[in-house]
Amino acid sequence: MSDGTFLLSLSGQIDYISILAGAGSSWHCKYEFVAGPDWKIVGGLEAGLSQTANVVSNGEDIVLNLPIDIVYKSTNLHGWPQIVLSVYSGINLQGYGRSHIPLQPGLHKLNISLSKPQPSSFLGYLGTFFGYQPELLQPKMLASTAGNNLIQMMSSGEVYVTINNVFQGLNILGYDIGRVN
Amino acid sequence: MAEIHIIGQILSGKGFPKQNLFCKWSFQYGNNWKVISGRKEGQTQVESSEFDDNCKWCFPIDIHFATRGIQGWPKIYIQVYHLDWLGRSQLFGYGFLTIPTSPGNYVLDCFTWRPFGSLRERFIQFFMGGGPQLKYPDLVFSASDRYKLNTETMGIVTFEINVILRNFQKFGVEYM
Repeated sequence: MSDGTFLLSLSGQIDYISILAGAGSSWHCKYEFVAGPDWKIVGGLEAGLSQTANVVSNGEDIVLNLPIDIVYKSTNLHGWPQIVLSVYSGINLQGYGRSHIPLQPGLHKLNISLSKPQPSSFLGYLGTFFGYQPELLQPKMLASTAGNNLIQMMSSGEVYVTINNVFQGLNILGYDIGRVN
Repeated sequence: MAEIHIIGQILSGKGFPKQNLFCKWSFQYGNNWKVISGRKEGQTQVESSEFDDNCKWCFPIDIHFATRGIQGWPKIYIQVYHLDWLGRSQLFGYGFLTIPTSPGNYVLDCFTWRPFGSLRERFIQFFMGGGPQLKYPDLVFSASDRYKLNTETMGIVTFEINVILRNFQKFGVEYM
């Protein structure tokens, strides 16, 4: 790429959610990509929603097998893409997770920890007895380094994601990403 | 100028005596270094864990430096705090981490410590919280003044860091 841009192509899937899941619950997962201002999507979807996966026996992993395919173009490594996941059981939020897309080419198995916000007021605390679960208005805020100081969160569960990524034109621009493990 | 990208996350804090932890972080670097984009300091959310003592912050870091020299290679300076049920925060650990000088993907542990008070202070700390803090946090970086401190071991903060260098080879820097 002679115009100072490089390409990042990633493809993979959200394999499964590993969380305390009771029999009879049904789960879904939303993913969205967040990247810096210089990053443009050349192909693929920025966000997606999985199918509803039902849990038959207690404690089993919730397989989603949701494909992810996206191609980015950028001039600057700053604002490297991140994936933000929101996991729901029925309509109740069970956790948010985020992770950077791996910065090295090849196959990567990520396990992304989930955490859910805790109520910050007494009323909110009372609400938890009635099944109320606080949610973030914009889960994308988790991907910003600006900080989310006052949010209290409780971590629970993990999402397993497989990602293959390929770069094009990084070395020509003088970048050295190091030895690939 | 040679450039360096530091992209990664503050993964987790474990081994601390209590949950409900947050981490304040900032980058320290020499005079030759300049931040082109990205934040150089911040604070994570308050995290606790349901089943173990592993607080998974998963807090993103993404910063872009330019440099004229390799002196003063960046370090991440962290302070871990515990937020108690009354909304007071108390210091749970100081630590710093040197950013690796070769490009690549790293998972690094930062071992933290905190000042160790006198018997009377520890007694108060046990029941009331709080505890001694450094008046001059720069002491964390100085090897010459450490001998004055009395410390105790706290937990481990784990980082995942990717270092990407640009144009270092052009200036004859040998890093591999």
